[in-house]
Amino acid sequence: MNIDTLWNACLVGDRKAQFQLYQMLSGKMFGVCLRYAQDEAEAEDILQAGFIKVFTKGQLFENKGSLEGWIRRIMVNTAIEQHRSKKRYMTEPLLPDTPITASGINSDSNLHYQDLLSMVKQLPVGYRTVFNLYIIEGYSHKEIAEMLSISESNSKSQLSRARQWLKEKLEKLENVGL
Amino acid sequence: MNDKDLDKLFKEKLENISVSPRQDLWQKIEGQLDEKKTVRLGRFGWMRYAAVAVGSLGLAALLYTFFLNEDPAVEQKQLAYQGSTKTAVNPPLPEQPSAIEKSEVNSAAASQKNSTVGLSNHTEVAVQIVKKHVEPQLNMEMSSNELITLEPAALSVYSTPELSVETTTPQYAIEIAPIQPLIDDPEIEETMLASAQSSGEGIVPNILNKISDALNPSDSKSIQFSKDEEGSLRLDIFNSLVKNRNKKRR
Repeated sequence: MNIDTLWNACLVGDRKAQFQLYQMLSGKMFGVCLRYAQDEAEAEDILQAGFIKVFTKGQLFENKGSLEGWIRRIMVNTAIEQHRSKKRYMTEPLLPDTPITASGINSDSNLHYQDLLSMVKQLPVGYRTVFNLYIIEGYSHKEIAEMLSISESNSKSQLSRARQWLKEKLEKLENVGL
Repeated sequence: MNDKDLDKLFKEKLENISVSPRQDLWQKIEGQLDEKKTVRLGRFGWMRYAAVAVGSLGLAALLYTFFLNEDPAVEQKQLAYQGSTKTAVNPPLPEQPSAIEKSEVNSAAASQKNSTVGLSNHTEVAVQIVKKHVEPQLNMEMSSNELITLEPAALSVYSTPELSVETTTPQYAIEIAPIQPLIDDPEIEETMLASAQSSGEGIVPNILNKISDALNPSDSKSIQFSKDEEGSLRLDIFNSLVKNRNKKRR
């Protein structure tokens, strides 16, 4: 089935088509959600809310760019909204070092994505969001500042702190691995 | 490791990760989608009911104003008629007593007493007719005759334009029932008075009243506890609410 016809069926409210689209994209989108969430439960909440938005506000998608990109943006925005709704937790203290399951790795290239992901998850929510938006999604600091309603310099400093934090973690991991 | 390497590492490893979520998550999403649909339907249903309610209210209001307008219109017509007849009455004023006398002569055939009363104040027919109808209570035997004779008398008066006004007004006067007191029993009346509620207070209201008096001796009337026959406690706050409101606004 072509993705366009599938999407049109989704817009009409065809539950089967919606399920097909969900099956097609849920893995990738859950990956996106996991990067922004503190834990799996939060990621599931984001994914659920995101897909609800996709199916209820599907008519807002104006066939510019790929559908997948649009859905991905929705997931990211949903994640940011979730953080905003729980803003008081934005300043939560860093979790104590949870041991990263280094499964026989001795170099960067062998690092498994799970290790990196768990590192990202351990970042404070502010650092994590900026890091995700800038490094992985590729937004500019200006865009990030607008999305998070923070200043550009704040975005920059959060990113540099996130990098610093991750570097330290990676070095620790390498030491463990060696 | 510089920033670029770090960025590259994370971007490559994390950009396109695919992790399948829990199996039952779709059920949750589906459930929420169904819920939204029913909610939307429900909202429309509610709106329909609201529309019906508003419509019926509007209709009721329309009918109410319609009937309300109709009555004054009739009265106004009557008033206008009265006015026009009254102006017409003025020139043939001397005729009036004679016309009344005519009618009185007709009715006098039935009762002499009535005619004498009518003659004594011959300018006010309304009073006469009221009296005519009060009289049947006094002497029931004459009432039937009187009523029969009254009708031709009224008709004869009605034929003359001067008196048509006076014949319409008694219609209101006849229908008035004797005024009776709303409350027959003086005891009931007593309980309805505001000052009488202090009688028969229980122990608890008494204690509470004492406490409130002790706390605020300057105005003991502002808070009053009382108990009624059914045993429910009642708290009367007199001026405090107004003060509290000001305090809240502060």
